Amino acid sequence: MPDTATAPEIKPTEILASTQREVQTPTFAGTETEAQKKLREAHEKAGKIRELQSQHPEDLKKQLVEVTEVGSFSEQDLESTKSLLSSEQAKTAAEGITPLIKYLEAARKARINRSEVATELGANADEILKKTAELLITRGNLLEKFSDLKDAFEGNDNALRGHVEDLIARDPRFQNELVKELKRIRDEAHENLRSDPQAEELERTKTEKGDVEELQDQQTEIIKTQLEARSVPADRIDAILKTINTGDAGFAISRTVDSIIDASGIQNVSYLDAYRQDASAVRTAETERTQLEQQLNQARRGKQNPQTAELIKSLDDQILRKGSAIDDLKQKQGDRKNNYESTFNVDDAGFEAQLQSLDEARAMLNPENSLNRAIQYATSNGQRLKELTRQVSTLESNTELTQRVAQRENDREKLSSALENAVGTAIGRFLEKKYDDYVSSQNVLIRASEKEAEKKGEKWLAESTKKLKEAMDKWGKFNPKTRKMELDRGNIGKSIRELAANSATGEDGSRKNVAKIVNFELDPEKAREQIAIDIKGEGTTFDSLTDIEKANAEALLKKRTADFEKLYSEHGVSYKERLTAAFFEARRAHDINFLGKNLGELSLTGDEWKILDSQFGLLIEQKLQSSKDGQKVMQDLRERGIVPDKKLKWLLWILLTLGVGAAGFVAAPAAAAAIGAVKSAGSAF
Amino acid sequence: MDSNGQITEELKNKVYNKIMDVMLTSLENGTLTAEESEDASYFILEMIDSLPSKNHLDAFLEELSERWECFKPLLQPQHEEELKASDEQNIQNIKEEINQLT
Repeated sequence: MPDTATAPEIKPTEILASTQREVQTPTFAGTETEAQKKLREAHEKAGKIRELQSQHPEDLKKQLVEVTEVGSFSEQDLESTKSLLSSEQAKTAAEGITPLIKYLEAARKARINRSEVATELGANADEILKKTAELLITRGNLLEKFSDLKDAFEGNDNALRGHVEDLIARDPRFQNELVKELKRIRDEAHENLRSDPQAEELERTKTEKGDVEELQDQQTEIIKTQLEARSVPADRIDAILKTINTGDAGFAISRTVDSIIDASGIQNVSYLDAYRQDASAVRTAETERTQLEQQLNQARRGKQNPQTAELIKSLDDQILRKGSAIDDLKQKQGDRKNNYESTFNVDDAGFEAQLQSLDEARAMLNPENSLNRAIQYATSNGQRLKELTRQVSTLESNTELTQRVAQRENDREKLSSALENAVGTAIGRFLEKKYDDYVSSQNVLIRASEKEAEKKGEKWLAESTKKLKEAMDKWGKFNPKTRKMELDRGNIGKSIRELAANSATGEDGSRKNVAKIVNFELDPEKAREQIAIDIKGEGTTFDSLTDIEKANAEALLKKRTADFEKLYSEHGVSYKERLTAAFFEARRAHDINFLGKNLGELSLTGDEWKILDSQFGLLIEQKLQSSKDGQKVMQDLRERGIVPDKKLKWLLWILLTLGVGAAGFVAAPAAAAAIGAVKSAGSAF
Repeated sequence: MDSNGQITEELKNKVYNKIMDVMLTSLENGTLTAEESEDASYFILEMIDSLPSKNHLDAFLEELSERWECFKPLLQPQHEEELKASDEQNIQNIKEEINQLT
């Protein structure tokens, strides 16, 4: 009897009544635990289905479809997730995920409309189909995100790669897995990076400090480059930069001018300054003399009287004295220039060049000068940097806060990485679940055969069918506790090597494998001996039997051979297919290189591969021929003159075996139409 | 089920009904999570319409309950349930008769 201790009691007569009862979603005080969350989600889901059930009590299949619908992950969801990331991380995440989200949304729209879909399509058919096709094309390379599969496509098989991507992308279950993965990432991110004002303040300050540091680095580089161009030595540049960092712009500028002057090769600046002062004094004296001359001219033009005459005389004297002073100043200036030229051995042009260099160096004292502005800006940044460094240091003195911020940064990195790997993770989970369902469907077939044999009283056939199932279960069995299919790599490797060894002579290796499992001798002579043992026990030979026993043994052998043929015809291909599916799943699930080497228990030698290819070549061709998807893919490849290599044929075969790409129960007319349009468009890339 | 062991539409609907009821009750009492119900639904939907015989249906229910324990009650043979319902009806009839006598 089944264990019903925890299982709900079934009351079929109450089904309708139960669908109409009010469902109340449980609520929990405080932070929800994982178990509580699962219960709430389950309850909400049940509520939605019951609501649907009350609206369409007859359409049970719709309700099961509803259970599979996980909703959508919108661009708004992505925005809210991106807001938790740094700008660079967010940019990377958006580039990879945005086209996929648009594609998922279009696929979902085509999928969930169901009965309303015809009306919907009637109004917006062109738009929906166009959008879906465009998005499928722009969705990017799905497999780029999945290194295991990516490696399998190196080479010139991009056309097949497109088909494989298409098979995966349009499978509603993959779409659901991707939505679930994105939601999981979003929820985890919002949970880990929930509002923490203190941590956010430290993050903001650190971010600003980082930005200012970056600016300061750029500004420092500009100043350094300009000073190097003026041949300022490295130690002087360092000294100037240190002055900038102290925050004293005036001092930094004056040091810069001095350094540039020194670097320009200007000799005896004070002497040149004195020369400039002489020139300035000459100019001042000449201006004063001109003013005196103007006054004299005015006095001479005016009414003449004794006072005027006295003024004219005084002005004449002053002009004469001024002229004499100017001559002295010019003489002094000329002497100074001559002295300079003879002292420093330069000619007139060289002297003028020295003066010009000095003027240029001093031009940067002008606040509008670009170097002056750069130094002022860097000084101001330096002050801000000091302030921010102080603030960060104060905040970071709180160890617990620092740890929280470090954890948040770590969570951000994980979030960014998870978003980048979301597609690969979803493909992995999707293939895992397809494999689990594939094994279960094979189990159903073999269990049914066992039941049929039992009911017909075919004891040997029933037992042999059971043995075959048990042998296949050894490759991997679903563990209801962990909710996972647990693959046994050792047993899978052992069986596949046996298959290769049994195929070496060109015979059907899987037939030998199955015969060994059910203890059936394929060799007629040995089979007779085995029957003799079965009849009379160990040590019995066929020749030792009586005539009647021999006749019975022959009849039994005939029956057993027929039973074995029935068993093998019903489950032989399944055995081979399931073994290889297990082989690929075990490799996919555990190894970096999907079809690579270094696989330990699952590694095959080159010869073993050849043997398996010779064994499976026909099986693969049959699978490709019997599948609509397979036919279309192969036809398209043929038309392009592409012959896919063996590894890729195997990959396509495994996807078709697992039923990947089959639109299945969710293929509403709109989805089918959309997929058709998408496929036509898809074949162009 | 017809006389050849084929699954009738009526039986299929009945199984659908029971599966839905178990699933919803299990979702509500927490013995099945939303994610598990999704996985189970994919399997059910992909299998149930392609089951050719009663043996396959039984095998399917066995596999279903091995993967998701909440479906174990579905393994109770159909006729047992019918017998139980019949017994309950008989008891009810007898009770009514006794009541009429008293």
